[in-house]
Amino acid sequence: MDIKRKISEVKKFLREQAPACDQEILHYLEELCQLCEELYAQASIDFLTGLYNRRFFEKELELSVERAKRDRLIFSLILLDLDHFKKINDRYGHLAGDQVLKGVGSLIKKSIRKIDIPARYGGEEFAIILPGTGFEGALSVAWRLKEKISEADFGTQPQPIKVTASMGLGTYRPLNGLSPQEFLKRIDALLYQAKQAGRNQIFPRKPQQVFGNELEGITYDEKQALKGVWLHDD
Amino acid sequence: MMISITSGKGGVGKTSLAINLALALAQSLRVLLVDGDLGLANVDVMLSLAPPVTVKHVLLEGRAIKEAVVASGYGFDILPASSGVAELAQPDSEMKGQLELGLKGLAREYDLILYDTGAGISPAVLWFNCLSDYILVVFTPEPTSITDAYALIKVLFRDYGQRNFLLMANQADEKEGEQYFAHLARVINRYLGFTPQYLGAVPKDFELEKSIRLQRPLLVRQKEAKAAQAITRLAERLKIQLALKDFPQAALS
Repeated sequence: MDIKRKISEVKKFLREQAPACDQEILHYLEELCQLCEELYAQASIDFLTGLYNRRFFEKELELSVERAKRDRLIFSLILLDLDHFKKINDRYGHLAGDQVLKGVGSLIKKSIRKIDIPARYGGEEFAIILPGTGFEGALSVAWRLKEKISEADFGTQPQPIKVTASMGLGTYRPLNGLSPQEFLKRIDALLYQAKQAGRNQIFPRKPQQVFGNELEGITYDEKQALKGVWLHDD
Repeated sequence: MMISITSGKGGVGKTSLAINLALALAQSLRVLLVDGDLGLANVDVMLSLAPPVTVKHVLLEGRAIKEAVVASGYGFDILPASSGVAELAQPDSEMKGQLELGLKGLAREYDLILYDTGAGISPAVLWFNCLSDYILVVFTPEPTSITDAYALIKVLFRDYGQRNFLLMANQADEKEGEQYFAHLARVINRYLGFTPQYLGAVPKDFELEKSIRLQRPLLVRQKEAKAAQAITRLAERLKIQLALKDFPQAALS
């Protein structure tokens, strides 16, 4: 159910009925609507990082898939997990750990566009939905994030705290017909591979893949085959 | 019938081909040319028109789509876009729905609607292509153009299930065009598993470039020019390929 839309429908109805209503009751109903909106906003935010929370993210992922199918659109998803986060908690304490999560959250916010949806997915796991973005675009966002996170110092003087992140990413294409859960599972598997490969990595990163443009990649083989046009005249 | 004219890469002569094709087809058909580059209009500039109502007014101010249609002065009509309107460069689903409805309404009054899509492979470009019955892909004999044409065809085929592609070479003589098409078709066949059709080639012609500067269609200015003759032939071929019947009234008016 789209709560936000429902609330605005109720508000619209109240405005229309305003002249015929008891003004005091109307006033309280409007206040109730406002409180509902605030509550809704709070219910979708992760308090520590200020990003969206898991619940909101899952719903948004579902909507993104629906939109992709309906409007013939694509979007990309990045899953990001901080490396060896438990060690930070153990060594510096949970407050320092929280500090790192907050810092990473604000780095993420600074590194993406307004239309993107950043969320804290779990303990030290983050997710970013990038609407209308193809693989190459998502990859460049991931690289930027990886760099910023590894360069940042999340500690306070004189105790620096450094952290790195592993990422899995992928592009949702309407015709591959995956459900939100299946899509998420695939990206999660890529994140796992990145961890297995030694952390501080982004998957996939097939070197033989050449990306012709922002929205779609053509493979190395295809590129070679197309090149043939200039190699031999037949 | 709806046909999009698209290319992947920009600057391959898409819009001037679209205008001249529309002109040739309008000899016997009722043709509407839609400027599909919603946020960065081209068609009106090429024809030196200054339309008072554009798609912008239709989508953002609720004007009827018919109000925006103008006569080009060359036998076909135009649905102009507007330049520098950022929110139209990436229309949202509501705008697309509204536009689709409007265009389908207009389709009843024309034999053929031609979409001159923007360059690249943005959601708006893909959308216009998916709306069309046939996708006319223009390429020039250079690596970037061929690669981008292939990439666009790949996305449209694999992700959107499109397979009615008509390829067309620009700035290439007949032999060159056939060669490049044959190769591109082989790659498409091998990696995507279907065979596109070929419409033909339009040769490089200084007169065509001059027409763009003069803002007067080549087919009006220099009917005998090499490129003009080629375009006229391609228009005839297109009609045969799509089994488009001549509309008697159009020839009269």
